[in-house]
Amino acid sequence: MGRYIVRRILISIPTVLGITVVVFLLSNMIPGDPIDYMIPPEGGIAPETLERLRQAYGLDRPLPVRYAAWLKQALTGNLGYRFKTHEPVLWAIANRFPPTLLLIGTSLVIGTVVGIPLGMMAAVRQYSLLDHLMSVIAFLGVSLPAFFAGLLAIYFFSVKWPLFPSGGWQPTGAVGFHFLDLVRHLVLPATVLALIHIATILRYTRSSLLEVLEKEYVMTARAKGLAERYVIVRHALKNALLPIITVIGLIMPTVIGGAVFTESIFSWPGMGTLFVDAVVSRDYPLIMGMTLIIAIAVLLINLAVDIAYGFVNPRIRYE
Amino acid sequence: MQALRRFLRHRFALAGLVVFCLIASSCALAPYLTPYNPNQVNLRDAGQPPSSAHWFGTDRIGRDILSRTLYGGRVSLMVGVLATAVSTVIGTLLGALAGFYRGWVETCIMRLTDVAMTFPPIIIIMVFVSIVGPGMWNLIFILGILSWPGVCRLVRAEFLALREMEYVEASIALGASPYRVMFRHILPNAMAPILVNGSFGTAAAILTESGLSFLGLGIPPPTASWGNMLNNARVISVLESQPWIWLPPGIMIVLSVLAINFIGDGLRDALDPKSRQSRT
Repeated sequence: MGRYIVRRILISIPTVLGITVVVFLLSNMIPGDPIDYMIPPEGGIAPETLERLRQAYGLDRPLPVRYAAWLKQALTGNLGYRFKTHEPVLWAIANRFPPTLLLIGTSLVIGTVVGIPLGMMAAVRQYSLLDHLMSVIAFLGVSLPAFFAGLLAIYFFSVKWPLFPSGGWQPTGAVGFHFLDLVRHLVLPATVLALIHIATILRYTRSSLLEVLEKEYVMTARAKGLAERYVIVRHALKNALLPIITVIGLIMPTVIGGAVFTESIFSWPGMGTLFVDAVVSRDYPLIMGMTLIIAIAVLLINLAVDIAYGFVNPRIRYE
Repeated sequence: MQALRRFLRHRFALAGLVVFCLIASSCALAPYLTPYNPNQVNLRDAGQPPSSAHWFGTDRIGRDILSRTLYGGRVSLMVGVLATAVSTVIGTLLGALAGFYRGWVETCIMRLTDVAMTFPPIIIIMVFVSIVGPGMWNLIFILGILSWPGVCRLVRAEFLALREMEYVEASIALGASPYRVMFRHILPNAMAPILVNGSFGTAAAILTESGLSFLGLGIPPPTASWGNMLNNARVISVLESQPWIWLPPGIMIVLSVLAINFIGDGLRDALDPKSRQSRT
């Protein structure tokens, strides 16, 4: 098991580096550079001054040199400073990390807690009205774009019936954190984000449980005279969980990127809005830093999921 | 054939097909269905609720919402379909090569696929958009270039299985070139998952395009697209008191994506020989 982990990590490193190279090349192909954004609207800055500024920021050195410099710094934990606000990139990202983590985590929890029971119900009563209702819900969850669902949620639960705040994660001007305020702000975005997880998890739970319910050991358990409840929960569900966990593991890396739209609609101060901001203002250090962090996060998540899967499914543990 | 009959028995899929054809045809026939130019600014009639003159009302600078919805549908649907077509072609080619030749070709391509799949595509898409700029054809290019890993994996898996079939062995023994074996013998039998994936991919592409346009990174105004029409709803006054401005494009997106997903589900049930729906 240990060797498996080490091997996975070793393979991941070139992947991460490869991603950073690609993003570095891409972000330098963008027309215009940060200096252009610092020019005030009235203009009137001499081109020589702009050139000096470019030299000061090191923007005139050849690409490989700039990449090597960036890499060397990154390895020591220094991801540079944002061109826009001059704050350290790592600090800017770290600031946005907790809100995103909170949002994503809550939405995954809601998705699992709602999705698995609903999927179970649909599987147990296959082809019933309930099952078809669940199918429709699942389809809706997948077809509703996150931002439209967010708009509808804001319209109904914020504007028409002022139940929940429509943005941010603190009331304006609040000092310090109050748990209840946080929960109030969290409800709408997390639920909107959870919709697609509920849909996916519901469908996979249903199909996986259906497959398991046809196995011989379930028939045996029923023949032994066990109550149906026991048969389903203690025998069928445990085995049905394997593909479900796989699916959850597959969802997890995508949530990082997927929160972008939801965060934008609800003005949630997370990594999604930060990345949009970075791309719009051509903030290269921030773009590079975020890409690196996201790539590492995705690989760590995949690794963690693989390890957890090894624990859950003894059959692959001894590979 | 059998698959067609199975598909036609699937009520949801049929409904989806009907709805999608309705939507697609009304968007295609847009010039005949509405007298207004979608980009015609008319400040005198700005912000009107639905009326007999403007069936869906007007937006804040007086453009007719119905015509914008229909013309915008052309854009959104075309981007979705064409982007998926591009990515399917690329993915099928790479997957076929990987599955057929095995060896280092397969390893290379699969490594590439792994790297491409682990990374949240939205991020790369946004970076690409800032390089090549917004616009319909750019968007088709970007979305097409970035969705191929899923298809590639599928096709490779199919080819891995199908290349062991006797007819492959036979055609190689008869001297068929690899190209012929791959694309005239194996590929037709691998079409099922490709089609299913294609339909779900179209739905996903439509969603991505509308999301990007919503953020301002997709189809640029004044060209209508369902996504950038929704962008108007970010203003609280529009959201609250002028729902006719943002509800039509949103509902159209949901309906189209829902319909396409139903079609995909029907295709999957119809074409999958191990389908759980078969009660024989």
